[in-house]
Amino acid sequence: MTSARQNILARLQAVKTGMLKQLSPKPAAKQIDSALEVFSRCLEQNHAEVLQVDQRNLPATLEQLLQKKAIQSLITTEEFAYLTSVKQLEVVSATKAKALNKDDLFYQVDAGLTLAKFGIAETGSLVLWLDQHQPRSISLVPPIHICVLCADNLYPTFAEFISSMNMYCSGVLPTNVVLVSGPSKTADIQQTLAYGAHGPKQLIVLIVNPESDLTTAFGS
Amino acid sequence: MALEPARFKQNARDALKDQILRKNFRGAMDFLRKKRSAMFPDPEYFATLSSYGESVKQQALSQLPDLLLQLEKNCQNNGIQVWWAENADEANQHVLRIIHENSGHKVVKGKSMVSEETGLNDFLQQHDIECIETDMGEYIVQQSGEHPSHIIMPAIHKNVQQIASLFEQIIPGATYTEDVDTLIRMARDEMRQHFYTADIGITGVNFAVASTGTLCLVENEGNGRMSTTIPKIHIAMMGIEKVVAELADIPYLLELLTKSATGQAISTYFNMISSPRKEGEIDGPEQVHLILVDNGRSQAYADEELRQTLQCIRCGACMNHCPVYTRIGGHAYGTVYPGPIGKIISPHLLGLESTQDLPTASSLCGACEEVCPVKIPIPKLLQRLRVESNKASGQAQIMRGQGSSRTRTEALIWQIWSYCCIHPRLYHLLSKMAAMFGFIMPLLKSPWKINRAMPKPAKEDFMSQYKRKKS
Amino acid sequence: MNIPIKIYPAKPAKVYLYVTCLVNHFSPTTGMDAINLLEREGIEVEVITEQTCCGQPAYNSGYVEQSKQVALSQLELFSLPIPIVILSGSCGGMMRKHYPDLLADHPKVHEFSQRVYELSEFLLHVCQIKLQDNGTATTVTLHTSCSGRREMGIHTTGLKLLSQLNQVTVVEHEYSHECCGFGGTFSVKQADISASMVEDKSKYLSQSNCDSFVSTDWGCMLNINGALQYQSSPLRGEHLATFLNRRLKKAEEVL
Repeated sequence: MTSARQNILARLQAVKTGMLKQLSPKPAAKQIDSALEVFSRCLEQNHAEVLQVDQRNLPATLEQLLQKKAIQSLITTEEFAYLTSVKQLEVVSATKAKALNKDDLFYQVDAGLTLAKFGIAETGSLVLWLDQHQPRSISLVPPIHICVLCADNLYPTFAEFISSMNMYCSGVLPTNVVLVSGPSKTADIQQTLAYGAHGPKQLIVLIVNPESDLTTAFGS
Repeated sequence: MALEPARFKQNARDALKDQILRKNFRGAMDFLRKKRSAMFPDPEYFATLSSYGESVKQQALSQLPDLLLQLEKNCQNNGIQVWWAENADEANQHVLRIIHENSGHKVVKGKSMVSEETGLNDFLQQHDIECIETDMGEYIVQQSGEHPSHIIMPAIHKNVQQIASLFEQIIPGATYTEDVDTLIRMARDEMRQHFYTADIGITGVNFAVASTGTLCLVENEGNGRMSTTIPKIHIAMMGIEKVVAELADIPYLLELLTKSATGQAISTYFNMISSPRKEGEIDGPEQVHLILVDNGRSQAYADEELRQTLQCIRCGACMNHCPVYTRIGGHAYGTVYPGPIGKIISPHLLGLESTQDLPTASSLCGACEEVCPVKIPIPKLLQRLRVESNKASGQAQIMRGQGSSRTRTEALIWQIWSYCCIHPRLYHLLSKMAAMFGFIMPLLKSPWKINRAMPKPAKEDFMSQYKRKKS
Repeated sequence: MNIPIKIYPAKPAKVYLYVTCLVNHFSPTTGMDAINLLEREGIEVEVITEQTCCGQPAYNSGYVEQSKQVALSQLELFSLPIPIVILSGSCGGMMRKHYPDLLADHPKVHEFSQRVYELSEFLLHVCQIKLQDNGTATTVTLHTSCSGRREMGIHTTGLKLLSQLNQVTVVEHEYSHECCGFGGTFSVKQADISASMVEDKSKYLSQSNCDSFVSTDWGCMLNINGALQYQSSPLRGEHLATFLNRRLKKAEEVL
């Protein structure tokens, strides 16, 4: 117990603040029709690229995207390990290593590919759930961030997401949760917008329409 | 450049003459006001949301010590180390100790107004610790040897030509260019090596959630995430009033903050940190420290009316709408926090005796209160600070420096004035005399006459005219 | 700031008139014009000649005790339960919004403050006035005091009254929402800043190319007119009451 702590608490506790102030009415919960459309539109307005893809087309789409963006070195997690088979692409694993190689991350890698666990439609936000399966820096340091989100995991608003959050973490949040709503930007120079301040200059979001087992079983 | 609130009048005078500064600020404030206005097209929605935000903050403040204890406990359970600082010096000493204990040599800073308040950068420099501001605006002001002039857009007082010249000087290999994309790229490339090599990252905290022990940071650039991810130590500095009770409070406060500050539905990144790197994780800081800073806030806390000052979520909307701030800019105040919020918080941080001009530097127009997302009654608090500034001695001790503006002359003037006002016959006699001798008024010396003609009393005042016509 | 919804009474037979100290000393015509407008609506106007000042100057300067004494003396003059029509948005705000804080323990303060109406809102919402315009075509711009705008909500009422005049075109001046820089003692205590604000405001008014400008607040107008006079500008502000009265008068003169 340091004396600063005791002194501050004593000063605050000495104040009679009376009854706990009641909360005023919340604004009505926002109605988001066509969440997917709102989500995509917000991201595009914030300068992100958005692609919708069926689950079975995801690997091919990713490969095309990597080619289109001339990405030769990619850092990613286990879910995308299959990309090692892509020609002329170096895949750096972000989870196999014990620690991240800073040189690779800062100076070698062209793009980071991650999964977003959830999305929030109202603000066009990807929810990165960062723990031992998803490192923090691969969506941050490389100049391009490619992010895959399953369309089923889209929440209408941040408030609704938070009220469901306990389902995923029983009151203990992961190390880091980051809402990403576009590529990095700043307007600090004469209020003129510029992208790629410190985080990625490009954000590409792939929204995956999951296919039910039924559909793939019977073909389309 | 030292911060001197005592030089306010002179600073204001100088700023008012600076046509470039006035043009820069007018343009910037118009821009920010338009952006905010576009995000709140429905006044009823804003009224409901801001009332809700106000009540969330007031509820949190009404249980502040309990929330701080809960925050401390949950942070500690998560592995975040928590320290308490009564004043600026203690806060800085905590930072230094943590750096030394970890043999740190280089700091990268995400934006932190509290660290400006404590003068952290200068302090670390005196102790030979290299400290780089990484927020673009903060980087620009640091490299210019200046202080921020706005709490959200620190370099708002500079135009692109000034920044282009600056970068040409300070960034190795840089040539003069006014192309903003190029300038940002130059700064980004320059900053990468600092993120790479720094071992300490220092940031502020926008909201701290007591129930989960989570620190929330709002940003657009990514330098905050960099500073809280790459270096092995993360130190977060936070004013004690920033704690909220529940995660569920966050979406509403976040919406109020980003829409009010920069007219965005949400910032590019919203970063929620609940622990240092855990077992099995391959990046993130090994240690996270939270420093809780008082520095005069508990003085505001102790008074029910003044406590409302602590509702502030640091959006900057008040200064964007302030006709005084628009004309004199942020530096003239001589305080870390400028504008309306600066005027009501600085007396608690620095003492009323050091900030005597601040409570009077307002016409009480109320433009700030109209847009405050947590409904702080700023004009009322300014009027209250004027009461405290002019208090006679021997009254209840509420604020450091109370009574420091009181002069016998002014006290006498208001005594005489009130005596006349409550004695109508005397008042009307004086009024008749003023009408008779009114021609003297334009001859009197007065600061009014800088650019105005003195008004002359009418030859016959209303009451005399009225009585005459009635009879 | 939420202006609580005001409940306007039915048109009364009689009202008190609070002219305000600035009208008393600097523009008695405004008081006479206000009486005329109210009497034309069939309302008897009582002027308590003992009235002096609402107490705002001391209140805003932090001298609460002195302000309280004055406020109390004013409150006690207006004992009949009839509306008090006041000729200033800022004095109106003082009585309506700040008296209940200042005289919190007084048993009559709420009843009193709720009887206070600024002239333009009274004419529009209580008298339901219908104005006849008998003047020639003209343009006018309206400057509303900050307290009038934000404490009393009277910017809209002033505009509505002006828009009833069919020969009058209302133009908006640039940054019309912005403070003119008066702020009572602010104009002398922070004279440099105040000067820059009134310089801008007078420039915007002049640049609006209006024939005249009107206001519901003599504090603002002493400030702005002083600046215009210093600049040798022909433009001068007058009170809304005077402007309205003049637009109506011609008909009576003709008849």
